[in-house]
Amino acid sequence: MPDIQELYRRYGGLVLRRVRRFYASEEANDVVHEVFCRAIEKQDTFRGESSAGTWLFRLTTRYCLNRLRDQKRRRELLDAQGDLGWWAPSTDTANQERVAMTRELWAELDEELALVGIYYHVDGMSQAEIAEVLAVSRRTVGNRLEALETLLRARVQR
Amino acid sequence: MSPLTRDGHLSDLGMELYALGELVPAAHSEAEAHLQACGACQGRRAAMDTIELPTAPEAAAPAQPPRLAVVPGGGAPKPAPAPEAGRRTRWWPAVVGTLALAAGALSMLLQPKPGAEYQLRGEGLTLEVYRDSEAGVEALGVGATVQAGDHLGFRLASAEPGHVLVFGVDARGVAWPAWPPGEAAHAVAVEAGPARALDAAVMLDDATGDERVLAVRCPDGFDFAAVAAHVGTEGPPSGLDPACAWVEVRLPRAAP
Repeated sequence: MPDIQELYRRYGGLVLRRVRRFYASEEANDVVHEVFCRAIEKQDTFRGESSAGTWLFRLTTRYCLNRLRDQKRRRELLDAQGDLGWWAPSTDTANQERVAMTRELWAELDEELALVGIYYHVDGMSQAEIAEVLAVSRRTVGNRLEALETLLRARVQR
Repeated sequence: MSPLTRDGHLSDLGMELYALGELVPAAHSEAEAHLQACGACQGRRAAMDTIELPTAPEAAAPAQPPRLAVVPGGGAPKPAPAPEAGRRTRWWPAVVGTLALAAGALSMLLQPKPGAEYQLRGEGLTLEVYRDSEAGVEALGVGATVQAGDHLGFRLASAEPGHVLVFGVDARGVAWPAWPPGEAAHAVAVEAGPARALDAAVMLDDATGDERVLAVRCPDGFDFAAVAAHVGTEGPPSGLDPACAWVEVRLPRAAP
């Protein structure tokens, strides 16, 4: 794994663009720094099974999600930005209803289910791509999506 | 692994890995073929090159205290305009609420009409621009001029549902986000309905030349970055989907 300056030169844009899906630009720069610090801490988890870009994309998504899941942070966000722009799907054919419900549930969901929900409903990724990003099998992705659907359906019936 | 989303566009990750040259050859070819054929993804790809990275972590400068300025007519200090030329400051005021209320009471409702002040394509998209000042809230009608420090607010009516983004373009053809605020803004899904105040406003900087404020409504979602990469000094962003409607309000700068 290269040093932080080299990582930053090559992957700074990727990380910043990903962070901006979760945070407004004024806060995004700080989060980018935090992500790179985390990347250095976690560099031993990079085993070359995917590209470094994929590894950083996953690490950034997980970091942003967990930062948002912090209860205090969540409260601040909901107060200050009731409309979280990052839940807008990157493409329009994503299931808007599922996006809205995932948004409602994101703080309650298991981290892995929340990540699958973001990749599938918000990013519009295919199951194969999600499997590669999460370094799990397609079957695992399918199972998690099914579990997420079950939760969302239960929510609707509540 | 295909780098395409379920609806056939390049995924965010696929786009990043393509730009980095980290896709496997088959996926790279697939991404390249899609990019050649898809205007929306070409716009996303072009917008990637416009992003401005913060200073690298180890070389980060010490934090500076925020610059504050007193906004005329306001009780509390408001953020000063960003130092870089051509940028507009997000304006965080309680005045937004005031503006919305006052705007509702205004008897003059601007209707877009072809001519020097308004241009539009598509039915049923109306953009109104208001200025808040010590004198109160005024709708900027035909012949109105603007100047640095003006606080502008917006109202929008759409006769059709769609995704809407409101943005400005300065005389150099540089776009600035208005609603929703922020360079990372995504178009907001709106329902058909009467005019409503938008929860965002801007303070004009001291750039020279006329300002234009545009609202674009498209059937599908889109980002400010994609719009910013395609604006010019006249008219809507180039390559705009024919299914999109747009309206433009031109705001001449007052003579110094």
